[in-house]
Amino acid sequence: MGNPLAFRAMNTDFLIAGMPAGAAEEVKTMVELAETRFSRFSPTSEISRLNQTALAWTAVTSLTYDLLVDAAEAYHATGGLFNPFLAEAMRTIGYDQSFEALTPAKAAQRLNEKQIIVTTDAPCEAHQATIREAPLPEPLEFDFAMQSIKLAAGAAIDVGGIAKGWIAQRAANRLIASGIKQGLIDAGGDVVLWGGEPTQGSWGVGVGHPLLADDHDIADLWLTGLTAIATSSIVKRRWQRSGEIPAHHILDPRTGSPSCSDLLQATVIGRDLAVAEQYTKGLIILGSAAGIRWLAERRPDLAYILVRNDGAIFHSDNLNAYTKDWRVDAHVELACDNP
Amino acid sequence: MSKKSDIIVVGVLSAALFTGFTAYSYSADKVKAKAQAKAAVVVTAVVPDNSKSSAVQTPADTKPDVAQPGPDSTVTKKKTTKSKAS
Repeated sequence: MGNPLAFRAMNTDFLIAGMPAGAAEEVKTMVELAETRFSRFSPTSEISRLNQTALAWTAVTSLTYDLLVDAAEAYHATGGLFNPFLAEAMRTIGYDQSFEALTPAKAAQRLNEKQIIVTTDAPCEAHQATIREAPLPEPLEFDFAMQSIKLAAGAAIDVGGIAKGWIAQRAANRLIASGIKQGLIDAGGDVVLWGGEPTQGSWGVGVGHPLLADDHDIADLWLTGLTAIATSSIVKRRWQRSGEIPAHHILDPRTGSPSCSDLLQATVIGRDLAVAEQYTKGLIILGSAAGIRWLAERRPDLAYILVRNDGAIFHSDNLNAYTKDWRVDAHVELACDNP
Repeated sequence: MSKKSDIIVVGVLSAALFTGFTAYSYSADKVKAKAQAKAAVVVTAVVPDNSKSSAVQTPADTKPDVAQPGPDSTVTKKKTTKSKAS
């Protein structure tokens, strides 16, 4: 069994553990390949090339083709709440550079992650008023025989909300199929694991505090079977342009602006990391009450742990389907150093 | 006289044979009974073994008693990583 392998790619920290060194290196190679093809910030990536050729058929590699087929499927499965075709809207609200390579002017707009937005109902009511329910447009066309994709007018691909989890799950599936009995792939806090941890028998995964990620975890899960855990939050990747209200990276596709709900953080537990990641976004967008109803209607097999903006934490009653050994706090302290 | 003694000899031999046969039969029954008793013991011993092995094949029953969800169930183990937004 090799030592844990840590590296940085796709603007995030990866950790590979519990598997032979050769298998870990294979995961790393897959992730690095995905990074070169999927980034919308790299002008030479396949995604950037697609974004520059709307309304024209463009041949892509099988990796990109498969990702976009799954992304389009997720877009429909979530009723459009997971929408990886809003790159243009992201640019409009100011997310036009990688957080890893911000210019000084952009860096000055970045908000301290500990500066939690003090939410009241008022901004969310204004946000809700702008929601437009409309039939889902079809942003992509696929030609399987030619392995080509055509982007609809006005659509621009941003797979930032799916790519990391998707490639981690693909790597896990490949290793499982090749006989690797156990392993853990942590893609910047979105985790897929299988088998048991070599010395303890089960993998221990905490769920981070929404504001103080290095401090006390709000939940502990002890897992063995194939399990995926994804967490999204409106606290990370936030910025504020002069004279505007703070923005964050989870867009509400119904409004084209950053989502506004009573949820600070959503964790979803399932068997596929890309799927878990998609549903965290929908929960954050819809908020606790509507989000829980929405998840129960679409994917009752998924479990969740949610942190509301008043500090209340609640979880689904199907956590036992994934582990019999867990704990979840009831409340989290959100006192912080607001300016 | 000799015929009489012959009859006595035959009678004694017959009696001896009968006793011996009876004794043999008795001991054979005893062995059989013992064997049956042993078999019964073996069978008795096998049944729980079988039931154990069939229990082993049931995944739900193989799990050790797991800790109930609660704050004390995980304090001694070390977590590998954490799920968080990034």
